[in-house]
Amino acid sequence: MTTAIETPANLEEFRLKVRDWFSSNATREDAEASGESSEVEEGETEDFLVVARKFQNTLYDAGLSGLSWPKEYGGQGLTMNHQQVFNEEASGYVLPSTPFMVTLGMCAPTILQYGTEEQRKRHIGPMLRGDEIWCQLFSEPGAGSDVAGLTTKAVQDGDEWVINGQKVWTSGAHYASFGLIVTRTNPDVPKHKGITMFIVDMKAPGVTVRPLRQMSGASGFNEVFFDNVRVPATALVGVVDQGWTAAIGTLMNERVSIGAGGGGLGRGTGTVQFDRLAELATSTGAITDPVTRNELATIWVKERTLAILGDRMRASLKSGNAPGPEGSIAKLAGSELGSRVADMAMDLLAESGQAWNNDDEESLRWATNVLASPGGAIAGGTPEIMRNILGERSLGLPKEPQLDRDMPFKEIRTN
Amino acid sequence: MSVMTEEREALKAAVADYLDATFPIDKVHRIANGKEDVPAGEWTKAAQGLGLAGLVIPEEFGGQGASLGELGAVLQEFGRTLAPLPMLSSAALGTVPFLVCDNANVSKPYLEALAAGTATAALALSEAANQWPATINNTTATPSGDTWSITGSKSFVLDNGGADFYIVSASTPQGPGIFVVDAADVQRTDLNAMDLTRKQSAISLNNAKATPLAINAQEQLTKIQNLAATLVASEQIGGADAILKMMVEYAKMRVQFGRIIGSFQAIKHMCANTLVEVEQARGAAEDAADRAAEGEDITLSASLAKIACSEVFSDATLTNIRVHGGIGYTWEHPAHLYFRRARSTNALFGTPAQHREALLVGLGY
Ligand SMILES: Cc1cc2nc3c(=O)[nH]c(=O)nc-3n(C[C@H](O)[C@H](O)[C@H](O)COP(=O)(O)OP(=O)(O)OC[C@H]3O[C@@H](n4cnc5c(N)ncnc54)[C@H](O)[C@@H]3O)c2cc1C
Repeated sequence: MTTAIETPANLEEFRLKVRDWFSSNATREDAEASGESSEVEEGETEDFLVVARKFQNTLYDAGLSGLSWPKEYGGQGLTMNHQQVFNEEASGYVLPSTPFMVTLGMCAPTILQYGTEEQRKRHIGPMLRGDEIWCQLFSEPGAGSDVAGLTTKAVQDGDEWVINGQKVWTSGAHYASFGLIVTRTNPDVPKHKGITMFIVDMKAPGVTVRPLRQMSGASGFNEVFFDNVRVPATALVGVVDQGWTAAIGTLMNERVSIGAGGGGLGRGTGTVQFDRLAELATSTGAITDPVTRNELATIWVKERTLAILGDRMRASLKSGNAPGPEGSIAKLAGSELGSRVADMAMDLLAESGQAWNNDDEESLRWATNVLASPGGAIAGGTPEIMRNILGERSLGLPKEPQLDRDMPFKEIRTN
Repeated sequence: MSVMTEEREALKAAVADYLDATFPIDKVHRIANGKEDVPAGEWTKAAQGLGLAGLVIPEEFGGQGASLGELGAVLQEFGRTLAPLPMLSSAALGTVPFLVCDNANVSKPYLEALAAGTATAALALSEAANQWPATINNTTATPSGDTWSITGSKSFVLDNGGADFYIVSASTPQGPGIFVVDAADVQRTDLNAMDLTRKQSAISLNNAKATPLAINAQEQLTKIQNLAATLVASEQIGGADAILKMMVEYAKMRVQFGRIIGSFQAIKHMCANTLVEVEQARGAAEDAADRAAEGEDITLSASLAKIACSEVFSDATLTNIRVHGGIGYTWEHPAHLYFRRARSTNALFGTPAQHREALLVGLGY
């Protein structure tokens, strides 16, 4: 064995280093004026992006980004216990990392697992450093839950591929520099067998990004049009026509990431949502009401349970396991917790959660939160799809009859 | 499943035709976005054409003399379409106090103006969030000569962007009183409302000249609040019903995995569960309005209706977004207008939690 990466002594030393870094480089949650409205909403304003990039840069320069990622690609080559220590120390601090969730939680693991050596060398470092933000170009107007039903085409032309089609609901496409796109490369075979994944430069000629407005009023996602967009053959991720395997990898990472925080992003181990609600209940006076106390305790239990689950999932990821269908547990539990928190806040605020004065930021924040919460359930796969995956893949229940599974793609019924 | 009389069905259908023609949902959406205004004089037109403004106002004052049951039926249509006219705020909440206080001498000019659709009223009882029934904490009325003056403040007032007069509760030396205050004597501030299709305000009164409708009026106040909860519930069930139709329509149309999504049991059950809740809540809302029309004590019925309708409306609007997936989460889609209305009315005139407490108290526990 070479020098142990992890010993009790170096873990402790690492803890002190992290603690020190946080105390001089990060803002404490309680010091933050009004906070961002919600996780889904974050990362939309230019300001927020500047702050997030700067944070990620400093984190990287301090040797604290990509803790468990391989050294040769810019990671720290440390263990999941280091990550755990980091998360513990991060507790109570604002981590403005939301714009990197897709990049580090989903795209980077896909490149690491399915990308070429050249792609890993080229991209993973800048991703960990916050210099490259990526987006996930999977969903299309006709292909959401059934993303394998996608119709965006890629056709080979010499050393290049030419992409035509439309993606939709692409979070962060308006500020991303690269995207991971899945395309149809063979319509004559069953749908899962003719899909290919590429890296696409979002500034390439023919890429048009149009912001879409969410029901909360914010614009975090976009429609993206591809009009004869040319990508080099070196942009291919994995194998031609076998991109579905890589896509599944991205999606599994996404579910862990949304539900439990992943990709070495780090996430505080505190009970952030509970804390905010407890504070609200104290300020409205409802904290002495037994019904409120019961619900509040339930939320603490759910938030802690999810955090523990998240730690365990991340730990097992590092032991070399790609995330399995169990990521859907975190995704489901996370979105259910989200709407429960939103509901409880609305109950506590009663009338003032639905109408407020200009200076009432608390009401505005919770109202925005409740308006964003339905999105959390849909993004990354709907609850119905999560349950299907758990039922069929984790529990081995018989599959729903799928009429289109073995049919050539071009014969399938579409919208 | 409906137990409405033919006459009521006919009224409801006429109102539905009018609203569908005048306020299709994309128009409501543009109005909500501030891109278009409610056509000028539309309320007066509706008052004169369909008699909506004076629906429950006695004929002697120029109204239709219809019952609260009819009012509930019409409110369902307004809830279904989210039409931005002051049907709930003025023709229901702003009118009912005059009927409850039954003080013809004072009410006559107000009721005549309301019935003609030339003026609107708004009900201003609530002073702070989370109080049901609304308690009077800081609004006081003092007699001065022939008239009264009120000092205090009210909030969460549904006034459609500004009513002509406000019905205000205030404490008096003889117990709570109910007064009418002219808009000119009120300072009004728009609140930021989650419901984009209905404005709310906070008002403050500073020695505002007030006309008493009833003094020592605890009983009337309780009645008014029970009626308010019942009428809001009627509107809610109309909204929930529209949402059920919206989700079913989409479930029959959208294809994923080569199938209509409504063929997935998960989606089918979401729709069926909503139907079960909607039908029960509709019964509760119509029953409460009919009992009110019969002059029964509706303490229990009002809470029952408000709980059932608030819950189904909130649940259904969320389920609808889920059935739609990404498209249901966008600003352009009308789903969120209903979601917002549901969350808003859930909190107004008693949350389900507050009504559950009121129920148990009413049941003697
Ligand atoms: C806030 C937000 C951010 C997003 N960000 C991204 C992004 O960055 N990149 C990206 O590619 N996509 C993104 N998405 C898209 C998201 O992945 C899709 O919206 C989601 O997968 C659902 O697809 P859909 O919207 O087409 O709904 P549909 O698939 O049409 O679903 C409609 C309804 O049918 C149900 N349904 C479908 N199939 C089945 C089945 N087999 N069994 C039971 N029920 C079924 C669904 O559960 C849903 O209730 C985002 C979405 C949101 C809301």
